[in-house]
Amino acid sequence: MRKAIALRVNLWIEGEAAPEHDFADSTKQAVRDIIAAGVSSHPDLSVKIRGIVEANDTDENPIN
Amino acid sequence: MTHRKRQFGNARSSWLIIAAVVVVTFLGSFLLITYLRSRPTNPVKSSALPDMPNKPQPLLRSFNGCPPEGDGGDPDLNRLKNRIDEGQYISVTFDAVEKLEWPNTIERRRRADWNSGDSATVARYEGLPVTIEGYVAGAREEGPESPNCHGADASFRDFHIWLTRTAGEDRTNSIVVEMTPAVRAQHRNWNTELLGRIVRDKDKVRVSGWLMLDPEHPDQVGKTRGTIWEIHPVMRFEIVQNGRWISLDDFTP
Repeated sequence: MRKAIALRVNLWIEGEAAPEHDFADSTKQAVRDIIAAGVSSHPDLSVKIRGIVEANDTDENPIN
Repeated sequence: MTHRKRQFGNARSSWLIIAAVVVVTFLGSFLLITYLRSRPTNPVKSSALPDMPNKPQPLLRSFNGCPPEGDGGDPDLNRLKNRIDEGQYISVTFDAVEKLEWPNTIERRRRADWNSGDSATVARYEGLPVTIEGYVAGAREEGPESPNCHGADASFRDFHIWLTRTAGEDRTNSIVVEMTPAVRAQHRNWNTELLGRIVRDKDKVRVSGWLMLDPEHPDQVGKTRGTIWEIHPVMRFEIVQNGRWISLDDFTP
């Protein structure tokens, strides 16, 4: 049978960059590249990136 | 004769009693007025926000290499978040901020894309130096964000604090107030451990800083906050100890 799934992936990415460098923009592109490069390892799967957004959990439960 | 003397004596006693009552009343009033004038009072709080057409311009400076506009997102918003100047704070009620409206057309939009009417509406109150009193319902260290150049180190994080009107209240009608890295670096006691203790002890606090509209979280209104108006950055944080307000930096738990 044909199956499908929507996965929500939570990534933590670190790297060196100039302070003013748009890190959100460049890491989103990097993730697209990483997924595109890895898709060839799974030719039986069709993978589409529907969106990549920066996690903004500022209003989640407080720690204290 | 004796009867007259008695009458005269009674009349004199009555006058003495009246005179004594007048003197006691006068002295009592005098002492009461003197006491009321001399006792320490908090500034009168305004239930409405004042008009201040000429607001102080933000003082901006890079923090450990991170410029005030951050590394992306909305640079105009980031500049407001990263101001470091003190103001002449105006004491206002919790409700004056929590009930303050905003045009919903600005939600989730960069300031550069706001129309001029919306910009003017927000500008009427944004940038006011205000003080509000309340209770801390929760606090947390944020993750990396564009205003702080996505710095990975903890010194680049905001502290997100939920302020409520009454002690023990949930966050539904809270006002978010934020401590920023540049201001936090100037205060030895601004840490999550102490804020956590204030949450647990339900201490009353007084927060001063700059009124700012953060258009990024309208979906949370009525859930984890009561408004998208914030005090951001927080410039002063005070707590009641031994019956008087002291800076959090001077607080000894």
